[in-house]
Amino acid sequence: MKPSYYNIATPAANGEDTVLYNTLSGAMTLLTHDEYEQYRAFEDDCFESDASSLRKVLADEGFLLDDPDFEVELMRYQFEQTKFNSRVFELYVMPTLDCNFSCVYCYEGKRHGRMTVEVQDALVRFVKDQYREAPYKELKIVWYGGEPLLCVDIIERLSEFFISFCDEKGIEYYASVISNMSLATEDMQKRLERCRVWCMMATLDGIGETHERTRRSCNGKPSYDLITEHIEGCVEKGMCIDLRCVVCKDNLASCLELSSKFSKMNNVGIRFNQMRDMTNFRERCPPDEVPVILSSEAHARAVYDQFMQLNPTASDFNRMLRPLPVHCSTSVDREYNIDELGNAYACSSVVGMDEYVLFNIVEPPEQRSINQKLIARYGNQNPFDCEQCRSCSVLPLCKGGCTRERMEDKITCSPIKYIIKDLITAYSAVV
Amino acid sequence: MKPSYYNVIARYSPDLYALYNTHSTSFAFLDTREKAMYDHICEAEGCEGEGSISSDFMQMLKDQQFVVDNPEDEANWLQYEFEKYKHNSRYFELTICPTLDCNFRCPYCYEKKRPGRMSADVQDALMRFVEEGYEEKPFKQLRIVWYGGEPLTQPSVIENLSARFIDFCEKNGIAYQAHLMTNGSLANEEMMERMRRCAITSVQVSFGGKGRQHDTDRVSLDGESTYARIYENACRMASDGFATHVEFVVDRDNYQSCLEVAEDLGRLDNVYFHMPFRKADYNGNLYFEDDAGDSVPMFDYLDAEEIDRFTYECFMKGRPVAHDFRERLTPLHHFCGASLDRFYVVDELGNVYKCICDVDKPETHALFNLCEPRENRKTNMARLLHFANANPAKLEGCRTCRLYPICNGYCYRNNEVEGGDFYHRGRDCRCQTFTYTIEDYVRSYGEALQAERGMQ
Repeated sequence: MKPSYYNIATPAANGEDTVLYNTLSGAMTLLTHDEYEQYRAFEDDCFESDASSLRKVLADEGFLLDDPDFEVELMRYQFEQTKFNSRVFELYVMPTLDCNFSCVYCYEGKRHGRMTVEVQDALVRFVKDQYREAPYKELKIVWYGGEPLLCVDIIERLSEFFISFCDEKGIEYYASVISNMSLATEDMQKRLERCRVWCMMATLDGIGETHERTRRSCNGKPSYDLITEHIEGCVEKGMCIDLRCVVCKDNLASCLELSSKFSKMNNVGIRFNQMRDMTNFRERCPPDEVPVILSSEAHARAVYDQFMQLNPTASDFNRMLRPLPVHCSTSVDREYNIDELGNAYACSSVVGMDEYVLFNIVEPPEQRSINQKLIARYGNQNPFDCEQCRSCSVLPLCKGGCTRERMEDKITCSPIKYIIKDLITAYSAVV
Repeated sequence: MKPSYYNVIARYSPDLYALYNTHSTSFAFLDTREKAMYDHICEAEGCEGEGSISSDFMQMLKDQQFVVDNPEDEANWLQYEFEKYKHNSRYFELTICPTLDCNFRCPYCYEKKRPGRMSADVQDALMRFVEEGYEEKPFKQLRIVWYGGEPLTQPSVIENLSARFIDFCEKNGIAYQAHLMTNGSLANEEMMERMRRCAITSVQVSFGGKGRQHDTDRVSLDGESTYARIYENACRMASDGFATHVEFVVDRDNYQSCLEVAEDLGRLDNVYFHMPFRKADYNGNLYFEDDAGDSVPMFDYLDAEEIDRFTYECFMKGRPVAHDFRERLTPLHHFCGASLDRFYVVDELGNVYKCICDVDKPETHALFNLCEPRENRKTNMARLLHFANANPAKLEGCRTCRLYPICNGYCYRNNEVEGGDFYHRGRDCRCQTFTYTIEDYVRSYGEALQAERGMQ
């Protein structure tokens, strides 16, 4: 028998023992010093010398396997199942690529204009056609942009169709909005409620002025207080808030303070995203306002600090360490990003880039020009054929990272790689 | 631009060549000048800046996808399509064995006979399995294959389940398709009527040759001759509108005799020749000692080339027209259902498998049993993954093979028996389909196309 690729050994919180954790199964066990030495012998493939009871215990809990590649194949199977799962049809719909903000790090090319009625009707047909081809049980719509609330009338018109279609066919309907929240006034909240929006994904990059430095409204007015007020209003109406902080060195302390403040509110989840310079900050900011981005390791540490300051319980750790079926929905076959022109993309980060268009929904299905080359490149992407990833101990938690970057032969390791041992040690203390 | 991996070229006449692409299904005749230009493209592995190639010819090659920007893009697309089709939810497919008992005792049969039939409890569990499958992911078509043992020894099980399946499909607007695999001995007129009521529209009947040759290989339990009866039943099924697929169980001894049957049946409408079953020692115990005391296998196995040749000859006995060639040479989604997500084989005890050849090993090869409550079912993942993760387009030998689109990697189970002592006697049998005969098919397709055009 051999150790699973996904075992991680790290000192226990008691300072004496070692915690052995498996990132795929979630199994955790404490090993004494002697037991840990025995385990290391297993790692060195010389366990035959000692067929102790430890070997049986570790085998029963899945730390030792006849063939560690079995777990890789199991994950490959689950990955492909999720990728081609026809139960769910998910669309990121962009009624406009225009925005009333001009955030420093925004990677999207702004484009004026709105989704026309012709494109909206094509979208309706697309949703119906997909159902006819393979009936789905859940329709998930994410309103995205640009700033989608600039075109709330389009959201209302399309929502009316989606809701009645789903009700008629017995399909579960989920809608959420990714918004800067500046327009999410009480009136807007009521309109979104009628559109059955259950979750708002908002962004605050720290408190007060810190936030304003990177999240800039086009009219020059500060937005922190307004957004906070709108978030509170949405929470009162029973919506969930998925709050992201785009973290850099300059706003880290403020983001931690913000996290502490908002974590006290019900229905608000907070995530730290790493700020990346995809737009050449130096061209967009005065020299003294250029954000200093964090290294992957420093960002991971920020994620860890933010998580730990919330006094996580065992179930919080469980959620944090839960294996992902896929890294993101880019890998998923029935998930598309549709821009205001009807272009369909696999990934939201490439919206507006002609070379990444899969097809256009306005073209009739029988005449639709499909970018087969690109679809196959996305569709065949997986981390299990990659030597670096398949035996990495955190693969179950990251599933190989960004699909688009993998297509460009880059592998960006998940921050969790840098903090996994600390998380397991802390988890063992809580358990 | 480069030549597609999937081009096949065959000499059609002294001055003409036939070019076929097994992915795009394009067909073209090339004269000797065009053939020389085509050879040049293949040898140079591209045609950039080549002035000697006429632009019309080049345009034709591009339009018909004989040349492509990058042949790897085509291979990647096939790899993706294979995976996508594997997980498609349009179909729910079951091969059901109402019994593993049989009224024949064919010496080479790989199945262990088991008396008994599918109980009412197992039938209920099977029905629930279909309903749960639909609830989880609605399908558009339910496809049933009745298999065994000999399924027609238990027609009441087929009738009971068919009535329930048909009712379920009608209520939910699902298309229903049923196929029967039988030795043909019990498919008399009365049985055909019962089959029709069960919405069975196609059958597969096996022959081991003509007359006594068949009776020697396909041994009925009562010792009686069955050839005449089965032949008569097959003819009646075909003339009554059942799509009748004929499978020959063949080795060198009955090769010619089987072709004689093919000659006779090939004259009929609705008869199709299925890929032959290679007569072999699947249980590893059919040896005898020759005069020198050496252990000799009982069957004179066909090698890969012979089985491929036999398949071609049978196909040609059906007097195929262009349409038949198009069907035979069309790209496959999958070689068989074993790697499909929603394909299952169910035996009479409710054991569920991925491959019909696993049925005699429930202890190690069954995935789960239908009668266990769903929440307690523990799936045999090791066996499932063996089929579920197969993707031949990722194998070096397959993805660039000119035959890949129409062969699809052949039997996925063969991966594990390769090198075994029975299946792979002679030359590599993994690559048997079309490997030795594709040029003959393409040439004959050309003739059929000419005939078709002549008729027009």
